[in-house]
Amino acid sequence: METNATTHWNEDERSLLDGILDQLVPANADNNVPAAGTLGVADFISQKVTEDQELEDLFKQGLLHAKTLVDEVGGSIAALSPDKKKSVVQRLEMSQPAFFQALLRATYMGYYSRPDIRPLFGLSADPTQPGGYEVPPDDPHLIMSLIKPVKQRGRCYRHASLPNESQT
Amino acid sequence: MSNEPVDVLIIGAGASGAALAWSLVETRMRIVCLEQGPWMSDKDFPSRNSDYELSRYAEFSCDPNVRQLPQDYPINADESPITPVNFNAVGGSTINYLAHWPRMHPSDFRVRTLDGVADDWPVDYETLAPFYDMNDHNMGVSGLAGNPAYPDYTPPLPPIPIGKLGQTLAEGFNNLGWHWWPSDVAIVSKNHDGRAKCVNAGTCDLGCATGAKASVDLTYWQTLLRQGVEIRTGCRVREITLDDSGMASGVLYHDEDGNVQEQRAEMVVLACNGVGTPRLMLNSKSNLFPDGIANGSGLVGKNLMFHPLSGVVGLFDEPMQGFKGPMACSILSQEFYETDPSRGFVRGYGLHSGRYTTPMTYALGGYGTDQLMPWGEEHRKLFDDIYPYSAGLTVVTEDLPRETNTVTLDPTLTDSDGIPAPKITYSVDENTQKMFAHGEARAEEALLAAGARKIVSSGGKVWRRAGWHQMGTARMGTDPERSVVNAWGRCHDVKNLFIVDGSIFVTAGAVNPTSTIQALALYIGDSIKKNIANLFD
Repeated sequence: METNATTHWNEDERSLLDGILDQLVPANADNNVPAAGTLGVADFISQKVTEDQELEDLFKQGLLHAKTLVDEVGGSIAALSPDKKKSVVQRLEMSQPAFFQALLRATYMGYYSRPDIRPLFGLSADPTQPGGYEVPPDDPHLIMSLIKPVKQRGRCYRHASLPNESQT
Repeated sequence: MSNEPVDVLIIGAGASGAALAWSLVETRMRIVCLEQGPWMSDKDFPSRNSDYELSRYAEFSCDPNVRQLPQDYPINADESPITPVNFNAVGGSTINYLAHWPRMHPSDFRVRTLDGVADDWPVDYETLAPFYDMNDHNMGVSGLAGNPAYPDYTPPLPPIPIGKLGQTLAEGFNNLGWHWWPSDVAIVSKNHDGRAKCVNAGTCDLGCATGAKASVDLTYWQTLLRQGVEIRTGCRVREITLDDSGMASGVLYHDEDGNVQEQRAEMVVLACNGVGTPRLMLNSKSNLFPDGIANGSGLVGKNLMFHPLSGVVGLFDEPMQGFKGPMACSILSQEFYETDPSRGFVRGYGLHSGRYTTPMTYALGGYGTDQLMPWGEEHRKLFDDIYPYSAGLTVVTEDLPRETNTVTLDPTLTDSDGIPAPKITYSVDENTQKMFAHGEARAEEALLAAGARKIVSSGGKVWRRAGWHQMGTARMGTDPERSVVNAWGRCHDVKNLFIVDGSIFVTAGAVNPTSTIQALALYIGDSIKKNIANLFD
């Protein structure tokens, strides 16, 4: 099978990876939050792997192992039942911990660095600078009322000056 | 290659070196500063990029072992639960610090007398107070006057809004009858001195492109350049040299091209932080000082202190929008700062209400830790039901000095110029562990009193990437056998060698130290001017 130049992996590998990513960060249909595989986070991971030979080798071995796990329960990850998909990923986590941690970390980095994902959690899609966020000024009356009991309780530090002769 | 001798040679263009230079500039002495990093441009700050969070784990990580930029030196922290973090550039770690600006308490300078532990400082709060004020003005500090946890002072600018998160937590502290106060921050709350006010970007660690945060490249150095002080960037000092009389004669350094240059000076000032300074001193061996320059006491590199910290998180009913606003600061409770013997430990801690974090950092375990969040349905629940509704308190503890906590030279690790790298050997002591247990329980109480439905993270783990505050490794004192520098930063053993960074702290207090580091540097500069006629006697 030909390797897909834009995604680093051949179609089977990409399909397997997408299926795993969908398990790692699943969709929330109610809020229209996409799953990581569906969103195309594999492209981000592909780029990372391309830049690091050690990571590439780790992913190659890891995906080979994942394929074995899928083969044991069915033909392709996409065709498995939700429970079986979850079970495959759990077994992958147990059997390939180094690969799995690297995959999970890369998945979170690829997923949450996307400007189209941040607004789903209340953040701006834009860079934080120079626009920043609007935060209304505190109501001065509210602040005064909040600090009033703190002030009323009085001083809460210890006086502690040095004897004069020691400072020279 | 040798350069024309100068009067004052400062090593390091960060918080302390800049403040010291500013203090001395009126003397008209020729001042040169060597800095291993470059000038930073706000246009290059990752906070301007759409994938800004990625840089927190790459070229703008606070951890030099992750960044691995040409100007960085590696630090072996394998034998420490906390790894030092920093930044190497003009501005030093003020480029990526969070600018939280609490002062130390008067009692912090008198811990032996008051609490029977560690040692008293040879200076006190009262002596430093005018220099705190001066520095607050120069840096542009925002805050609210009248904090009952301190002797009276007035920050020059009004406070940054504490926002919904701060107001909510303040209610909790009030319900318990505990101290809290809006945090002082070195971030301008209104346009000031050519700097635009804070835009609440929430990514102070990724460079403040609008310049609201007081990094010293924007504050002190702008004045210093106009006054003729010279900075040489890309210059890494490998050794402080001695003359035949045992005085510092200058330094040998690697220039931008890696060539070794000599710079002679009448006076050498170390401003390289609590790891960089002892590293350089230990690397400066001679017949007179076989264990490192000015190390007659044997204390160079010993008594390393951090501020160990952990976090507790509560779940609220409404979104807390913790990603908006300065990262490190909304409000600060110092209810448990002063010693109370009934608590079972000596000294104390602060409960810091930082804001919350951005989604990727949350998924990767939070700011300062690397523990990946769960995957699958649990992940979905964390992001949909927990993350937006979370607010936390950080327990920031005092760290008592111990000679077993050290900066030494790694036997094999070096920087790109072949200079031996520092090795950290450090553990958290029993007193601090007790503070954590106490503080985490109090943080839970405060969050619940503020309306949290439940506690979703109870702490119990010291943050690893939390070695911002590096102190104690060349401490002040009046006794040359028990300290490295005197009461105004001059080395006991080499009288034209000064230290102005956090290395000279005798104890750590339980607050962010930059405010005190700079106040001390200004005080040392003032002392140098007062003693100028017989400075090296």
